[in-house]
Amino acid sequence: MTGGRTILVIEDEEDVREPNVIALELAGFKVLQAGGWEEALRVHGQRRDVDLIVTDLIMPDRARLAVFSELRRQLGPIPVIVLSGHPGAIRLLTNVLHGVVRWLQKPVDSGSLVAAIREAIDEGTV
Amino acid sequence: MREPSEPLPAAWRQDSRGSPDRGGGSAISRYAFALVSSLVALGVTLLLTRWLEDFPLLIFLTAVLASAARGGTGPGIVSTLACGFSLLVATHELADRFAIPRVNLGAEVVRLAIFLCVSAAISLLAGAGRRAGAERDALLLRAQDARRQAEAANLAKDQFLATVSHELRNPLAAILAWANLLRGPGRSEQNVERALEVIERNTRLQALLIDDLLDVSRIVAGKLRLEVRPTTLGPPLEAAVDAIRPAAEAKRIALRIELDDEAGVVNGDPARLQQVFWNLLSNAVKFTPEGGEVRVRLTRSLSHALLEVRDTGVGIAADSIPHLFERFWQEQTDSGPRSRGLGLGLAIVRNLVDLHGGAITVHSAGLGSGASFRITLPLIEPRFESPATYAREA
Repeated sequence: MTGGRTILVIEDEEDVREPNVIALELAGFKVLQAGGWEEALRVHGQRRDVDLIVTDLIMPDRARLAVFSELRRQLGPIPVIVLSGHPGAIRLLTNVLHGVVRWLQKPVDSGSLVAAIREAIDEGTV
Repeated sequence: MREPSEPLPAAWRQDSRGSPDRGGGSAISRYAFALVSSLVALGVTLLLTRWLEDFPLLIFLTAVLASAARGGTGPGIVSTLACGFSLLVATHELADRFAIPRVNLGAEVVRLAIFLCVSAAISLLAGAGRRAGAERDALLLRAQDARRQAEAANLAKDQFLATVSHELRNPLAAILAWANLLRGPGRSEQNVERALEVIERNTRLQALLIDDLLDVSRIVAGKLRLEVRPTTLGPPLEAAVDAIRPAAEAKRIALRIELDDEAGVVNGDPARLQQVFWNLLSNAVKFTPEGGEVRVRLTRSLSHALLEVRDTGVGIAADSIPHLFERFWQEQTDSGPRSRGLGLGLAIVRNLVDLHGGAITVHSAGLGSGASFRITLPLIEPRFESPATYAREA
């Protein structure tokens, strides 16, 4: 049950991004990808068809958070699923990132990621 | 310990709103103040003679008190002496001007002695107060320094844990994601090949990260031991080059090797030396863009073997060079650390080189200009040249 939704996957580690993209495509989603927030803003910033962002958090700092905020502003108020290998980031950023519907602690297997997206769709948040 | 005459730091001045500045300016200004206040006391006494009659003691005591409070014991004593002299002058001046019968010499001496004793006591007490205040300031500063250091250490620990956690989870994330993909409908022949390659590479990466962490732990505890024996540098260097070659070829980086067969023998641990060489080569390949070049040159001087690893990579900013060999340090760019990793490789390299009695230096003309690392290691048998050769080299 994907309803033809488009997911933007942002992850700087290609070894992690690639299997997630394959798994999401196999699950029936249309998948866009980027190696970072700057690239996502540059390549996909003008799109109007993104339904969900799945993003990694890499040692967040203020400068890069500003890039992510700009990406959110350009893409519109779409929900976000955050993958993080940095346990503190979740606490740190809960009040900064709006629209986060799921936090998943790395390492995340692609099955859990697909399940989390489907749950969010079932809840009507995506 | 901070000298009493030094101005208090801004932070302390902010914390002690309303309290007087115990600094009191430089020594010269404090002694000058003592003399000027004594002169002012004399002037006021002479101006107010009509009302003071023959009792100007309080004005002079006020001058001493002000000098001691501002400048401490020394200026207080100077003011005491100046005021004692002024008191004598004033007493005689008043007596002459108003034809006041002079008190006898004995009474005058007693009066002066009382003034000097009281003034000296005031000066000593003020000096003790100033010293106590200065010690309190110093203690407060030390406490603030200790708190800042503790906060910085705590922050460094948090950052370290966050970095380690992130870097250790990344290979696991790749391994888990690919393994999971192979269990489902994504198990195509192409994906199996790719998954095996990623899993193998990330497992090795994970092992390297853990080895680096253990090495740093041993270094910090002073427990890193070398298995030293006479070692020819060629074999460990060639092994390191062979290990890095696939990564260089993947980025189409040309590896150029120049080995001097006469490079000599050092007292060293071959495995650790290979680790040093591999770290430098790995660093060079990591920071050199596709199509670049990495040159490795092993030569010797009279007493040392010289290894140089030179690359055409991204280079190093001048302000980064002093930090390059610090543990957990990573060069920052506008978008975060320049590279992934724990920032331990070069710190370990320097430590291993130190343990071998050698030295490592780095040179880069700046960002975009490549970098060059040079290691010197002492040879077991230095080459003896003729005195003429030594003279030329000197």
